[in-house]
Amino acid sequence: MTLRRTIAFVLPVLVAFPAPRAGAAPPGGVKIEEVLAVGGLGDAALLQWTGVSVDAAGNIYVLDALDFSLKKFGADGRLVKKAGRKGQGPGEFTAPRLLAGSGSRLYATDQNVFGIYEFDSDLRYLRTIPCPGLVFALRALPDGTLALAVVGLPASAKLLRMDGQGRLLSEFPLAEATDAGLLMDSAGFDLDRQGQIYIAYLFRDRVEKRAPDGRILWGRSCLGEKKAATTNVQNLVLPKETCFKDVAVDGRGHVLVLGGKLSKHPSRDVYVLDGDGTPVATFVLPEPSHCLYVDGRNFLYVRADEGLTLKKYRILYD
Amino acid sequence: MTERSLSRGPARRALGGAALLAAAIALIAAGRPDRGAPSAASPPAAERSSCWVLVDMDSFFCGSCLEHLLAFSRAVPARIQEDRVRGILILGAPGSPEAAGRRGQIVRAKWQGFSRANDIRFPAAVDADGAFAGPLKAGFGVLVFDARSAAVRGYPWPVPRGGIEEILRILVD
Repeated sequence: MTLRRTIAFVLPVLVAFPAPRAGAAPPGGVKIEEVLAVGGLGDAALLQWTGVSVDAAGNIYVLDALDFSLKKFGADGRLVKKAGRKGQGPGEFTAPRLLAGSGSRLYATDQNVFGIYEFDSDLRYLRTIPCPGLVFALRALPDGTLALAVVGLPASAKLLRMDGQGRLLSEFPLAEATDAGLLMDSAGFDLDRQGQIYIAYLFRDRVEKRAPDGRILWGRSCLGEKKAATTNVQNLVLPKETCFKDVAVDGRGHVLVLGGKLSKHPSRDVYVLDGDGTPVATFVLPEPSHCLYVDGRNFLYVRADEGLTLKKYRILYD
Repeated sequence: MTERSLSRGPARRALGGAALLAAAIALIAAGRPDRGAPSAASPPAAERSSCWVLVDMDSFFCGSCLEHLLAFSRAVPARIQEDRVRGILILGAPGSPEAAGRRGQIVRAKWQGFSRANDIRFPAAVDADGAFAGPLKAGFGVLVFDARSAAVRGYPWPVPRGGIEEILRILVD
């Protein structure tokens, strides 16, 4: 197995793999209230969604890994349009993964491609923006730039800022320790309105806030300093379990961190921190999810039914 | 089943005896999967070669893992898929009966959508009792009941071109 194939294989599986369901969600200082379900068992609209983005009008864009497509749903959850198919041509996917949107543009990744596909809001493919590694987290910013976390070759995790042409604007390493193994510095991230960056490491019990230039403003554990197990494959240190799966910043500036396998309710616990890193609450999703997404109107989107359903929730703070 | 019936070939992994035996029993007991009545010329179900594709539903979370399955379905003509090939949808951790029932519904829905989107023509059923978990764990992706030699052959993913040709020969004989 080549290094690139190893990265492309291990990372999505660990992040996307469904964790077993646990008990009912205990109440906390933060609650969620379901407002919409897209897809579902009786509806073939979604098969296994991976990435999601929501525009200002509430339209929901979703990548689907099983029919290799990009789908657009109206704010009412009805399928409006579907584009893409399996392949390596323009607008085609082999393994669709991440989605981000800004204005009338959508940016999608394929786990087998070192690049970012750009689409318009009618799902027309526009071009492929090159990038120097496998993208494992992606955000499109209001100023038209892209922020992305990548594992390059050799395997060093970095957070990059690029313009819409793929020109590098800035970068800083995510690695904290030089002896970290392959993928151990992979992380999800999100940005607040001031451009400050919140990072949740997939395989380390660490959440950080960084300044736009990469300076660490604070860092903390959410899991009691747990360590993710690793394994050795062909002399590569590979993680076996996840600490966190994703992070999102809501409209109030709260940081929502989705716990991974090492959390009490795997892939369901959401740790809520304030902008200074102080814990505010923990709430539990009804079903395991691989990601968190908060739209511009403060609605939370997560996975249900192993990707057959996308659930939209209102976030309620006590 | 005799040792002779568990034949080996270059494209096949060393057989995990117990696992393959269990699958072979289930396969032969099930006979030819029904899709309409057999024609007058059709041999009895137990005398027809057939093929079972083991689909690890957890692999659906790994885009690259589906490639082998898609390559196999592309290589097998639609008529043979419909007539001789059946998919077995294998669940991961079974959990409670209620959870397993729900999971079964989910994987059926996923399979229907996935097979439609990718023009896979063979139908599939959920391995509700875990009968095929053993062969899957032993590394097999495709099991073939060879009626002519009364043998069950197992192939790991990815099935190489030579293996697919061998399977097609068995199925059309």
